[in-house]
Amino acid sequence: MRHWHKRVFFSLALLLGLTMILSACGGSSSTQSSGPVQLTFWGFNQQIAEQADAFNKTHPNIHVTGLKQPSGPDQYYPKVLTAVKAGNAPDVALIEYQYIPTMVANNALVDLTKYGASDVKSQFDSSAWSQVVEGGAVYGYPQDTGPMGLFYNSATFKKAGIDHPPATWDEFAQDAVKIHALGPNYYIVSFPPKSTGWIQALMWQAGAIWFSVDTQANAWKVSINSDAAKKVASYWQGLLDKGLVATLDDFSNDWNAGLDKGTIASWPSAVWGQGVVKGNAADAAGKWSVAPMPQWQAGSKQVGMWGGSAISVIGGTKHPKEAEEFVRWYLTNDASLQIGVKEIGWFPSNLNARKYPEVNSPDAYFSNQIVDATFTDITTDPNWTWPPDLTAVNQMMGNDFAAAVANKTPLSGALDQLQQQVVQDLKSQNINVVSS
Amino acid sequence: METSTMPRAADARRLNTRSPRPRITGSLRWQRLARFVTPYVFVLPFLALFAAFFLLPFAYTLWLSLFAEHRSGLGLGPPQVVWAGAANYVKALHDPTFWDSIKRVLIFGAVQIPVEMLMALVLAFLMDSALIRLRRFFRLAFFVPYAVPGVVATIMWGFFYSPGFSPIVHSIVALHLPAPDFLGPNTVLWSIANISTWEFTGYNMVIFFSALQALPQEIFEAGRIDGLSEVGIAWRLKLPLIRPALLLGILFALIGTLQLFNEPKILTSVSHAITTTYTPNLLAYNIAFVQTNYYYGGAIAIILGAITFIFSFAFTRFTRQQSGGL
Amino acid sequence: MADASLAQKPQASRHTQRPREAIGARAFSPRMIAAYVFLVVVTAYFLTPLYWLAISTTKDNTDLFSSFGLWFAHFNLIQNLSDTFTFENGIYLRWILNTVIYAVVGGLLATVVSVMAGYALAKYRFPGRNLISALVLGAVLVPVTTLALPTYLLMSKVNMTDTYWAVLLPSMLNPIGVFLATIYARASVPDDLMDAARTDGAGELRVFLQVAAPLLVPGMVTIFLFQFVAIWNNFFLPLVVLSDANLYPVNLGLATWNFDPASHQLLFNLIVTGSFLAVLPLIVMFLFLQRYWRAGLAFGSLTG
Repeated sequence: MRHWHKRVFFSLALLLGLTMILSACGGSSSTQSSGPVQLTFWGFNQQIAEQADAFNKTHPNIHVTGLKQPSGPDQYYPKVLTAVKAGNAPDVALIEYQYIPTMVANNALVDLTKYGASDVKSQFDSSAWSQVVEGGAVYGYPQDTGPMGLFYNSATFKKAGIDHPPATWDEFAQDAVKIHALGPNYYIVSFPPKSTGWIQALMWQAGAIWFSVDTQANAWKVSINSDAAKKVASYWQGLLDKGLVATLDDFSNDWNAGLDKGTIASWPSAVWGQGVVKGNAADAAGKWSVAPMPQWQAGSKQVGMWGGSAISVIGGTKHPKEAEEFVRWYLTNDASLQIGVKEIGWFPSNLNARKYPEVNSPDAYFSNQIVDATFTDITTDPNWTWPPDLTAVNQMMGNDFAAAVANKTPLSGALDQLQQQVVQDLKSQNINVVSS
Repeated sequence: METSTMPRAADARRLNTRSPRPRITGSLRWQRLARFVTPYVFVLPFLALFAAFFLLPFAYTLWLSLFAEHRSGLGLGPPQVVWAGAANYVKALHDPTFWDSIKRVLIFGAVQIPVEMLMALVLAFLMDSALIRLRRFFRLAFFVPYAVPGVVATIMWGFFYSPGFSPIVHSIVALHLPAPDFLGPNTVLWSIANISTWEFTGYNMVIFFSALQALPQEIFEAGRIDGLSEVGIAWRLKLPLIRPALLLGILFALIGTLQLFNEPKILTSVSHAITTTYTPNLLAYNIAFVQTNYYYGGAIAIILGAITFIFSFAFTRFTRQQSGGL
Repeated sequence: MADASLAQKPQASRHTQRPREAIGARAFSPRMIAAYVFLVVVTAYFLTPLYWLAISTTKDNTDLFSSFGLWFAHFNLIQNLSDTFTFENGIYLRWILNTVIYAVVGGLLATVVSVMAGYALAKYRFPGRNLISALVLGAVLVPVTTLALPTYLLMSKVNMTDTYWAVLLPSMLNPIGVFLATIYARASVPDDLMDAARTDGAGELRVFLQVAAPLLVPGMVTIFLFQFVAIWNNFFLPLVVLSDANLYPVNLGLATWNFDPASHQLLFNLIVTGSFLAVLPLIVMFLFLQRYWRAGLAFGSLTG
């Protein structure tokens, strides 16, 4: 018995070796020693290939391949992080601002200060620039930003007897009653419990800073269930309890249909949301308008940020210098910026591109409003900080909020639970946390 | 199932006692050598692939599950990978969300597997009955869902479950009945069960039907003479004979249930009741891939594999006992 | 057991076979009507979602969300088809071709590998046989999704990611196929036949190719078909090991078309049309090879 066991194990070990040789033959993409430097670039949009081609034409020494990736947040960032760990990562990638600390915590981003980041700083909007800076290092250049405003269906609002968009959240709640009175399927908005970035942006607007750094203790201060956060939660709880808001996930089919039919009458969203509204509710041209975000205090201009992206050089690249050159060109050269603004629909962080007519002209779909103008006259709380494990935080958050909505338990309870889970998760990784 | 793990005694006897036929001695030696080497040559490609794409990744998962990432300060520096021993396993075994997910799939299986098997059996018997016309058409209609990718199947059923534009919901509302909620916390598990049933009933039906067709018909004549009805013949005579097919079907369904993944994953986007910890496989995926914690995720995957093994083993043991050691 | 004794009883009596149609010709008995009603309801259950998919290929995005799902609205099929085949420079066709390569080549190689191994396990006794059989069964128990990630990490070490091999090689591994092949070989290749061939001077390879292989054809078709479907439907492995869209199979490609805020486009009509087109080849394949795989399944189910 024992003999053949040994023999089988020996032959298995032999096979392992054989297989490694076999599979090595499969590998075809080896780095070329001569010719232009080869770079790969990951992003969410098909047009990045076009932009890369434009770059390649004018840069004979560098060849960039733009590869569009599936952009679901539970696919893209894990894929980048896994690729970094496998030593297989792209040289350049689009990274949304909120994921920068998470990427940094995994050694996945290259600090661009030593490649001349200070030379280009002046070409970008300063608040956008601040989102790529982390502890003095610059982890990419800012592509576009995501300040929030309110897209609303003025036709539905008018039908409900409302002649102006709500300026405050109080007004918004009153309008919610009027719109629901139009019919049982009519809602002023959908509260999407799994849309973590959206809820975080609402918290940000209300000054409910979830994460901050206690510099003395060199520790994270986690205040997810602060009074300010509970105020936001209880506001939405009130609307949910009265059945005045839908609970469809944003971007779901039902939600799309609601926007198209006008039964979901508004969508507080980021500036990039204009493309979504146009794409989904194509038939509703002339019905949709945009207004500043409803405020907690009349007259204030506070908003949170939802999304917005940087273009970063990814850790492990063999050519950081050339990669930076591409990123710089990508976000400062007109050829690239034109495609970004016109075809992808950026609200550009590049100051030069902000002067493009596309950014400043009336939009026929939105009844000739200058949409982007609504998103420039704003202030944001600079204290909002993103945690170093956002993928985990967002998964726990989505679970807690979705469970609260599905089981009709209080949102404030979800905040308490999330606070406890996040603190526990950070501690389990040996990260310093001070209790708030 | 049993036959391949435990070679039948008859096989062994036949092979061992096979007497060498008279032959030139040199050629005989060569033949013996060939006889010895051939099976190894034949299993070699499979073993090579098995080693590269199963054993090696599996061993790697096992290895990773013994480590953990540790950080310091604010956790913004690169993590350190430290030896964790059994810590990940202890953590998983004490994680209530893990046990909740196991419990959930067991409840699912306890209901869905019998329904699917019963339906497949009844359909197979009907297809086996000479009295039914258009059997070829029916058979194909039942089997077609198996050819539909799980991703597409779930997108389609997601549409039928949607409160806004489901034709089912519309019809029920039109009858002035309360709109059903297919995606709520108490119902979504059964909505998933429906998708599984839709996908795999036809597959099992075809397997049972093929088994029925292979039975020699004359042996049922006696039953007919004895006055047994067609239904009686089906349940009392035919069912015991296709028992191996049924047990194999149940076993695969059991394994599939414990590893439930695609359907809940895709329905996540339409149902708030499906969390990232809904099934054990979803939990392992979300921790290992989405949160890039290969270490803890690996431990959960290994425990899930062990639980699957225990259930499969218990099932085969139990059914073997039931059939009196056959 | 009572059942077992009942099952044996008919074997003892020897009755001449009677045409089955002759029994109970009461075609319109209440019981028959009930059976037909049941069959029609079940057929509707199985076909309605596919019917919806077919109808939906004729609709634009607005109608998809606002018209009644089970009937036509504005007829947009031609536009949907041309959009599907031209979007992003016609990459859909490329995805279909990739999928065909993965499924046909991977399926064929997997079948060859499985049948060779299954034949050896069934027809030879050799040290290590039990261990290999146990490994084959054990492989079925480990969740595949969790192996994809370490597979990717290992592939990266040999520069295999982002190649056709990254999908093809793992697709050639099919433990269930080996399991089925073992059963088929045991049931359909008689030892006497092999021995006779050996006596006639045939080598072991010739015994396999000329004696065993022809007998194993129905089993091979079955293994091929089910592996073909498994590869065609595989989603997670390509997602992890491929980042170049030019190498994607159609399943993964369609998933990247799924709406997301970043692309600012709603492509549901393309997803529906693309899904429908991707399902068609599978259905056609099963129709054409029906005779073979049913025979194969009959073996597998009886002898298991």
